[in-house]
Amino acid sequence: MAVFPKNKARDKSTLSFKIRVRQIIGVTLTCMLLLGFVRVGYIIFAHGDEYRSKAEANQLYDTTLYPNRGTIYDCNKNVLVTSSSAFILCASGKSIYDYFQKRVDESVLNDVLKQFTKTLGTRMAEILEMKRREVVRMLRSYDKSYIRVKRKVEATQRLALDAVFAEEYKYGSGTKDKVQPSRFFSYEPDFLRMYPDNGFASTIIGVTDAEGNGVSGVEKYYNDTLMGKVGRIVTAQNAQGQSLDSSYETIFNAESGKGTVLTIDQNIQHYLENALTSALNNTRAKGVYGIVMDVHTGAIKAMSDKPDFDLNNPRELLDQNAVKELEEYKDTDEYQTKLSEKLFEQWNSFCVTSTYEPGSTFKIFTAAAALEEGKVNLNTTYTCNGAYQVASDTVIHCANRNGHGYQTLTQGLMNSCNPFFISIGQRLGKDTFNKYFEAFGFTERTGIDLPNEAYPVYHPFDKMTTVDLASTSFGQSFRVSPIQMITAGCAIANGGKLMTPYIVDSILDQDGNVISKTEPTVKRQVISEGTAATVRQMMEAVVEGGTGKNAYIEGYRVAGKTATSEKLDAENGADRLLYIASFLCFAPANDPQIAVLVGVDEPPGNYRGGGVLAAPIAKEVLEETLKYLNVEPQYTEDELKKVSRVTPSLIGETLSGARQKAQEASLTLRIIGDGEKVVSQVPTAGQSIGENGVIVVYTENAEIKKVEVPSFIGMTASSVKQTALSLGLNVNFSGPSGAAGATAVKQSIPEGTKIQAGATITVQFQATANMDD
Amino acid sequence: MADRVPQRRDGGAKQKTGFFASLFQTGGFDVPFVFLVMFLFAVGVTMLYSASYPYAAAHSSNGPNAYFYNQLKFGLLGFAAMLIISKVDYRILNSALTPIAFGATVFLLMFTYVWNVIKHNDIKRWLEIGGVQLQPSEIAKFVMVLTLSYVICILYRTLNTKTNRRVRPNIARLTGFEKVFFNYIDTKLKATILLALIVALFCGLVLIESHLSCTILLFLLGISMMWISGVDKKWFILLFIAVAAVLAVVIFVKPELVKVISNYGYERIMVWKTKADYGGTTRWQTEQGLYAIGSGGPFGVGFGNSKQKHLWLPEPQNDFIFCIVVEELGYIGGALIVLLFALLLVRGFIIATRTRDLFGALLVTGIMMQVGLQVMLNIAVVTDVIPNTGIGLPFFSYGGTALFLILCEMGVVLSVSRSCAVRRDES
Repeated sequence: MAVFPKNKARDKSTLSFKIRVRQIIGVTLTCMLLLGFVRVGYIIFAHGDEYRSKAEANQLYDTTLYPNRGTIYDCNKNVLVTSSSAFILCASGKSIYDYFQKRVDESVLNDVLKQFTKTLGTRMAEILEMKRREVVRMLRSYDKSYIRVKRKVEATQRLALDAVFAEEYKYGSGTKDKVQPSRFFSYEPDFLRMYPDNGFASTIIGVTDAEGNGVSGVEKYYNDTLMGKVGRIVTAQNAQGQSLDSSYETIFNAESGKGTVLTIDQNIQHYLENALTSALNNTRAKGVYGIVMDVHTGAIKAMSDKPDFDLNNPRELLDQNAVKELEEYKDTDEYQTKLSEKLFEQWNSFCVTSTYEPGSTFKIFTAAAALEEGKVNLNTTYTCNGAYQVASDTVIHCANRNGHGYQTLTQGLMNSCNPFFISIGQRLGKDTFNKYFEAFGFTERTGIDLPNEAYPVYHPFDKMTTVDLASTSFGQSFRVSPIQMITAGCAIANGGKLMTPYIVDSILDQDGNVISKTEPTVKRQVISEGTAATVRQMMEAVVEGGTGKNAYIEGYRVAGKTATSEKLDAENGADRLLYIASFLCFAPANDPQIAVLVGVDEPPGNYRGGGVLAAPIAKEVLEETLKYLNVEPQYTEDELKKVSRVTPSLIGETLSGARQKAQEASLTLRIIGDGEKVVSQVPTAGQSIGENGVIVVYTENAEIKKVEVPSFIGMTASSVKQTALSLGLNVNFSGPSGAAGATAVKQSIPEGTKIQAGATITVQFQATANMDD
Repeated sequence: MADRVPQRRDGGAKQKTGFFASLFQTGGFDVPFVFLVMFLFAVGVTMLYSASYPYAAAHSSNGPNAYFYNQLKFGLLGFAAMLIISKVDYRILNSALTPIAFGATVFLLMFTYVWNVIKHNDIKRWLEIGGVQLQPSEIAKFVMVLTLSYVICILYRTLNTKTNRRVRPNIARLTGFEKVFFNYIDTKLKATILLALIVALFCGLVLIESHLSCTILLFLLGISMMWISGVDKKWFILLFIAVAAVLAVVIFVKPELVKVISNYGYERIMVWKTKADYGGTTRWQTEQGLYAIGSGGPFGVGFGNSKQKHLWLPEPQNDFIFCIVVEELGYIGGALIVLLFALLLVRGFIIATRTRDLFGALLVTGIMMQVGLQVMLNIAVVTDVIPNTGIGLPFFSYGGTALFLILCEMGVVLSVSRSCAVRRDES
């Protein structure tokens, strides 16, 4: 039966039913379509960007990709610092928790977790060289699914860790449940700074922090270059912090850091550091520092200040005084601040970041200024009576209280006579003096490419008094940094050009191609070539016969100037005179190549000047450097006399023939054996030996004669010669052997060694008398 | 009953006689409707796969495919059930079966409430029978449609008289208590009150189970059925004013009143109103849903590429699956799916209006309204238009029983379509 009524009424009823169905479905459809089209569209097109960025703020996270930090080379491309790949160990405390929470009864969950993290943490701490508590604490951050346990994990450490992670740990007593901890850990790439030579050039190279940023030295100054470009992996993560699969990743590759080639020469740096280290041990001074510079370019060939630190262990405070000082702050909030202050002091390069009163080495600049201005010439004389009345109430004394008497300009420099140079300063006048003071670069930083360069401290020109001018003229009452001093010294050495010192020679790309190269920069011509030559000549005299004679090197014409500067601002209560002994020199004097500045800071004991303390160190460095650089020795006639005896060939000669030949060469002949003919000789033919040297010849069947080396230390040159001659040994003299009061300080073959008769020993002399500057 | 036998005039080629034959029909079902259902089901289960994958990977012990397999299993079962049901003559429901189903459902709803209160001292909307969870409120939706269709068929004449004079309902084929009962419902007012009481009973029973979303759905569904039954419009105007007043008071004046009915409802309303995190994850879910929709853009991030489903959006496979659909398929994809639902509704309306059988028409309209309202409410929730009530998107949201039931209901619609297909052949 059809339910709708039949007849007309049926149709009407059916119609109204259809209409009602249509109405109700229509309303629903309208609502549905409005929501689905309009509302959804409104969300997407009006708020889409806002919602998407909000969603992405949740979803995306960055992983930093650390680029390999650039290598640092010396000027011959020897590696000084390099990076090797390492790892970042990451752990997920959350997955540790979740793992056990799913498998272990709630009542024992805490115990199991505790036991597991403790056991694992202990073993990890051993491998990672971390504190156990720290590792365990990180493993127990159960709310974090990503935590960096340690950066810079080395490959060997990783192997050891992997072995530990692969072991199966039993948990739950009496059950067979085991877990491999490896599932909770992951590694990310990292790098490690490697220093092939631990303490080498540490203040130049500098330290990097935990993030790999340089905090001192070249590492800091060239941080951006060395750093490269940090890469990123943008990964999508789910709400639990787990990363989604790699199709969601966007990778911005890291760019490796660029290599930097220093101007430092590994060998010269070694000469300098060895010399400074032994000087530090011998003098027990507070510190010694030295710079070796290429006079023509301003490139630093070596620079060091001892004591320095070990680059592999830079955070160990080595200065015992500082350690003591720190103990006061132990357990206080200030401790960390103080510690890092002290560490930065340790990392700083004294040569660049500190200033000192240069003292008498400054006199060369006073002289240069006066010569350039024509206020003095080499014939200018001055009679020193031991003091100079600067002002009505100020008298400045000379180091030699009795006065140097009548002296020429050169002699004045040789004697390092203060009154002479005060008078020169006064002759120049404040304005002219300051013009040169500024021109030599003493009022500005050098602009060397190292961090924290110190600013000089000097008398403001407009407030400078006559007394100030007087003390400044001989290098006291103002402070400059050692790097400023040697840079100015190079201006005299190279003919008047003030250079900008630099330490990075070039930057290399990853393939070793040079991207940029530092071109030597001439700041200005300070003095004329002629003036510079005159000053050099005067400085050479200082080494030949003045306070600098301990820097004398046979065959190399050394020009230098000593200084002993009192620390006028030394802390109150110092029970002794604090001073810095220094020596500034370059060689060869006629064609300078290399300049060396050496300073000995606060030497203890009896007052000794720069000529005694610093010059021998500078000499050692200079000599080794010149030889290393193959600078041809140029012997003076006197020197030639000493070394020009060439041993003749005596083999095959009869004894009488040999005697005659030896006499011709003014050599003493010693015959061993009772044969007729010479069969061998020591030294062999063609060797250079000193005047009155010994030549030992052997006849047939003669036994080789051995001689025990005596100690020459403390002897004068003539007694050394006599002793050697009597034993049948040859000696080579080094240093100011002819100077008054010079004594032997070093011998090349130690006392007690048995050597063949006729062999040559080099003996080094040092002068100590008349060295006050 | 002779009048229930289909009036088939198909040349008698497959004319069968006997009781079993009377249960089945041979007319063709509505092909576009079946295609729409199949298409929605296919898209739905595919999107469920995408949406549920990360959630299942993190939470299910059966791996990332667990929800997908489960849904697919129920879906295929549901499909089989749909085809079988479409073969069964729906008119067997227009019998004492309906009052029995009504009684059983009312009992089940009450039992669920009482059982859970006694057993668990807690209000729950589901029953656990042998490990299988049964939500009587889900069944209630269909049973209410069925009951209302049945009752409206009886009272149709009474309801559609112009005046308030007594009109005897169509009780010719009723027996016993039913005959006595319906004989009494002889005026328009009485009939209206009866329908309202049925709707109120279902709503009330579901509400005490704290199934707010289902209550709202049942209420709207009941109103819709009453509308098409011919109840006087004045009642709807009155109801509309009453509901609007209540909503206004509840939302804008004194939300605390909702606490009387349910604390949970109060929280949801407050969260929706203040847009703040009202002590729970509700706002988080809504916001993450909006982020997902917003991230979709016009063309979406591509199938499978949603990021919000990676545990940002809580339970992305459930009520908020539409957000993931829009994130992955974009505005275009989302709109197309809404359009599919709209087409399904339109097709259902065509089936409902084509059939000559009032019971069938009511049944189809009721079922289609259920689907339509559910889609509407779901989208309204996920787009933050109404409070987060927890209502699934048919064919898409995870839930094996719900999917199975809706496919069964589609089977009923198809069964009706078979008879109107016959009629179409006639004309």
